[in-house]
Amino acid sequence: MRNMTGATKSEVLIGLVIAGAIGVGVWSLVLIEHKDQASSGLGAAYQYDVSSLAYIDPDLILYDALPLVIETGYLNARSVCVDHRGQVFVAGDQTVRVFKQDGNLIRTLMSPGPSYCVTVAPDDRVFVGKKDHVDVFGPDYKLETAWPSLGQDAVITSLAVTGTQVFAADAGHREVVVYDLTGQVVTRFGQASDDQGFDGIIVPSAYFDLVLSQDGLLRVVNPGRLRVDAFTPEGQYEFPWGKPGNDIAGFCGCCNPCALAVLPDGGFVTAEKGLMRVKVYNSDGGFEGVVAGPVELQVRIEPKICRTPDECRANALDVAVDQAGDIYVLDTEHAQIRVFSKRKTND
Amino acid sequence: MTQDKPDKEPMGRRKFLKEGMWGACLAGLGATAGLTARHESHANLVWQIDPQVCIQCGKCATHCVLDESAVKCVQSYAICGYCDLCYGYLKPEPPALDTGAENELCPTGAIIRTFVEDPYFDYTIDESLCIGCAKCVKACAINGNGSLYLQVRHDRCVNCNECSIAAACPSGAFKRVSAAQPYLLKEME
Repeated sequence: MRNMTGATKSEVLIGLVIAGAIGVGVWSLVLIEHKDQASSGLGAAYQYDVSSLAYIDPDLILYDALPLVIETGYLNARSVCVDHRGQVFVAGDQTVRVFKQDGNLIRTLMSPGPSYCVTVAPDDRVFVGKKDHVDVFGPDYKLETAWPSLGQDAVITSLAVTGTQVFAADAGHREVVVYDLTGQVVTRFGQASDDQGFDGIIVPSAYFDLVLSQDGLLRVVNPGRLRVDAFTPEGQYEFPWGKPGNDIAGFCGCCNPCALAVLPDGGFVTAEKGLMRVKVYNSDGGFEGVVAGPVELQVRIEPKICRTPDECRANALDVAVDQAGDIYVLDTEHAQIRVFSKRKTND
Repeated sequence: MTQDKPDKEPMGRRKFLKEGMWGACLAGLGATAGLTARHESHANLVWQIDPQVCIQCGKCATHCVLDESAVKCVQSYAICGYCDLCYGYLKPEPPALDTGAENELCPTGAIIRTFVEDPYFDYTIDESLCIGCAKCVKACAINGNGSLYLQVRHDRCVNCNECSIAAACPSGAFKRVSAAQPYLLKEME
């Protein structure tokens, strides 16, 4: 009996020692892991909390992501537009790729130089912004002509076209250039003008978008002032809308909104870079709701490790709308397009 | 009939010691040459932060062997947007867009904001106040153009052989660079 008790005691002791050793081992691993990821030791005053900025009230989200994701295949995807047939045009690298709505690549439009933006006229001619000039492709998608350069500092970041005019947003010169359909420059505007009560377009970095709205006015992003300005096609300043701010109705960060598109009902879609948000506003510029935030766009807003400076900067969005009102969001970092459709309500 | 050659002469104790000594001498010479070369190469290298790899963790402020970190925030004036609503300078929801301390993001007030012309403001770093915490760098990287970034200032850095910050850096942003080009500057493309 005494022997059995002694044996039991020693077994218990050995068990305790082994359990203790395992415990110490696990604790050490946890400690090492924790130490590796430990914060700097600085207090809360030295931390920059991104999560609170990125939070979006779910009740404000009016759109759902469709399961389709279009992989553009570009290293540098820059701009998206959708034509009246529902074909998706994406400018990136040195080309423009045309996709069907199911994401299948139909064709590639090639011309020398980097492609920055693209728009399609009602007659199916395709206008491509090639940094400092515009290339024009015919309805057969063959290159017809290259318009003269706007100068080596020009950076054409957006195009819009009517039956008689083409509007180019030149971020390099911080102005809108108006062409006729033969490529002749008709006028330029965007500079501050006391006569018009306009304080000028400010473009801190190459995010400068414009669209033609259904009221016949041109809506031009004024990214340095975090607002959108309305002009007549002749360049007369009309009115602004939008305000700076991290709140959901405002435009935050540097150079926002970075992209703009028109909805079939005359409203607008805006995209913001940095704290990535896609939102809808009514035709008067009143905030209506959210299409997607960082969660829905599946993007991180923490700083990342980049291989090149371009990679660090390629974290913007572009937006386009098709005739059904679905919103195409180009994530330039991942060169993907996500499609969002208005949420069906039971009302 | 073939006769097998003996494989090798058996190794005697004297021969073992003799050859061992030669081997040790050669290894010693090699090690000395290697260490000398390493010392020489390190003498021409200094520590620096690769701004593309830095994730603004804040450890530069706390892991330097110096009381005041050798890492400071620097400004790339070519990249800066000179914005009125500067996220590197202002708190996320500032009560006002001005230089009031209650609006400033930097906990030590190390960024100086100066009006240039409407709507531009110039932002410079007061290095005597900057502790290298990277709070402004992170805000600028997320919301702005990323013109603010951290660099090891070589008028302060003592160039330790084993840099304490490099050992703690979670992203591997610390690297040795040529002393002839001791800064990894952010520039416009």
